[in-house]
Amino acid sequence: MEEQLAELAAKIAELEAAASVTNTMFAETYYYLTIPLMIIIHAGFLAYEMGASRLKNVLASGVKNILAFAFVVPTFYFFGWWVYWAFPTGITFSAGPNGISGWAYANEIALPWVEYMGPNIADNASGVFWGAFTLFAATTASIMSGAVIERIQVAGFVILAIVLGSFAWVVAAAWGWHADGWLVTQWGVHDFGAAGLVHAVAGFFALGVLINLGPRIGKFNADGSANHIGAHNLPFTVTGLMLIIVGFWGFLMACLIVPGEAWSWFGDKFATIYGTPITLSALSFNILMGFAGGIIGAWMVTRDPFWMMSGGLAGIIACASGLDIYWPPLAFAMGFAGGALLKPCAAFLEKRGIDDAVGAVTVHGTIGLFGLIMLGIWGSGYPALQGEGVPTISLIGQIVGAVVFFLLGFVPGYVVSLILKGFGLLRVGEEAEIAGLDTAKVPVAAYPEGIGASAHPAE
Amino acid sequence: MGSAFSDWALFEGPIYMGANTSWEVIWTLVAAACCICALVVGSRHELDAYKRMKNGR
Repeated sequence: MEEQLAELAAKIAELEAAASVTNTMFAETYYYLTIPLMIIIHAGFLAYEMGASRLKNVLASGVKNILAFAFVVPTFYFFGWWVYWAFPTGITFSAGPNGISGWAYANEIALPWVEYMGPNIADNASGVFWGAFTLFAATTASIMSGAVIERIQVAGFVILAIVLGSFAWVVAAAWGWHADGWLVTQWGVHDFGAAGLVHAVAGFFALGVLINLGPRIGKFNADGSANHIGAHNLPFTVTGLMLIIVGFWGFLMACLIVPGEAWSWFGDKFATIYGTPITLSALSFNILMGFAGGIIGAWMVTRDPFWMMSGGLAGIIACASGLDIYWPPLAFAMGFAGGALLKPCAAFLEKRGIDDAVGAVTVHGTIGLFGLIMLGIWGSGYPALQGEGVPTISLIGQIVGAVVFFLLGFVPGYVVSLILKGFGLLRVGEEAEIAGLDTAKVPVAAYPEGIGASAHPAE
Repeated sequence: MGSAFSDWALFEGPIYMGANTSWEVIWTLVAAACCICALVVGSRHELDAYKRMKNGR
C-alpha cells in the first residue's frame, strides 16, 4: 500500500512538473508573439507616414520613422526598463505596497548588467516582458513621428523619440500602469489599454514639439488660413492605418498578465496589469465594437477615408481604458463618439496654427484623454486594482490621471524641443524643406521612374 | 453605473458595467441609434452628391 501511495505521489509530482512547464512555455510564448504583432504597428506607422508625406519627402519620413524604433530599443534597454520599476511610488523611489518597485528592486532586476537582462535559462519572463514594453515604448515614438514629418531634423527627432519612448511615457506607466503606481494606489486611476499613459502622453508630447517646430512652409497663409497639404499616396496611408489596428491586437494582448506563474495575479484566469480579472473574450468584444464605432462616427462626420481609418484607431483608443469592463455596445458608443470628435478637434488645432500632419495630437492625445476621463463616469465604483480596501475608479481620479499624463507628455516635449531649437537641431533648413528632404539627404529615390512632382500648396 | 462589489478576488461571472440591469438594453439601443443616425446622414450626403452631379455642379 505504502509503495503504491509513493508511486502515486511521484506520478502526481511528475504531472505537476509537466503542467508547470507547459504553463511557463505558454506564458513565454504568449508575450513573445505579442512582439511581432506589435511590430506590425510600426509597419503601419511607416506606411502611414510615408503615404502622408509629399513625394519629395517620402523616404526622409521613412528614415526618421525607422530610426525612432531603432533608437528606442537600446535606450529602453539601457534605462527605460529601469525607470518603469524604479519610479512607481514617485520621486521617493521607495518600494510600493506590492514590493515590486523602487530603487533597490529596479537595481536588482532591470539594470543592463544584471542576470535577468540577458539569456538565462532560469528566467522565462524578463526578456519577453521587456520586449513587449519596448514595443509599447517604440509605439509612443511613432505616434509623435507622424505629426512632425517634412520639416524636422533627424538627430533632433531621435533625441525627442528617446526622451518620449524611453523616459516620459515610462514614468507615466510607472505611476499609472503598475500595481504600485501612486496614481493607482492613491487615486484609483484605471487605464487598462493605455489610452492616457501611452496615447495621450505621446499625443501631447507631439503638441509640445509642434509648437516649437512650427508649420510646414506653405501650410498657412499670411491671414492665418490653412492650406491642405495632401498625402502623396492616400491608399498607402489608409492601409498603414489598418496595419496599426492589426498590431493593436498584440498591443492590447500584451496588457494582460497570464495566469499560473509565480508572478501571476491568479492561478486560473487572466488579469490586467492592476491585477483585476479579465478575459481575452472581453478584448475581442470591445476592440471590435470600438473600432467599428470609430469608423462609423468618423464616416458620418467626414466621409473621408483618412479620417475614417483614423476614426477606427480613435474608436479603440476611446474605449481602451475600460476594455476590460465595458459592455460592448457602450464600447461602440464610445468609439463612435471618438470617431465623430476627430475632425472638429483637428480643425480646432489647425485654427490655432498647429500643423499636425497626420492628426496625431487629436487621435492619440485628445481622444486618449477623452477615453480616460469617460471611464471615470462609466466605471465609477469599480475597484481599481486587486486587493481589499483598494481605491475605486472615480471621475476625480481619472481627471487627476488625465492632468498628470497631459503634463508628462506636453512639458518634456515642449522643453526638450525648445532646447533643440536653441541649438539649431530641430528644424531643417528652408532651402532643403522647399527642395524636398529626399533630394537633400537621402541617397536613393522613392520612385526613380517618377510619378509626378510634388505641388507646393501655395501654387 | 457603479459596481456592487469591493474585492475582485471574490468576484465571478459577468464583470461588465451595468451587468444584469437595464443598462445592457439602453446601451444596445444607443449603439443601434448611432448606426441608424450615421446611415441616415450618410445617405443624405450621398443623394446630395448625386443631385449636384446631375445639376452639373
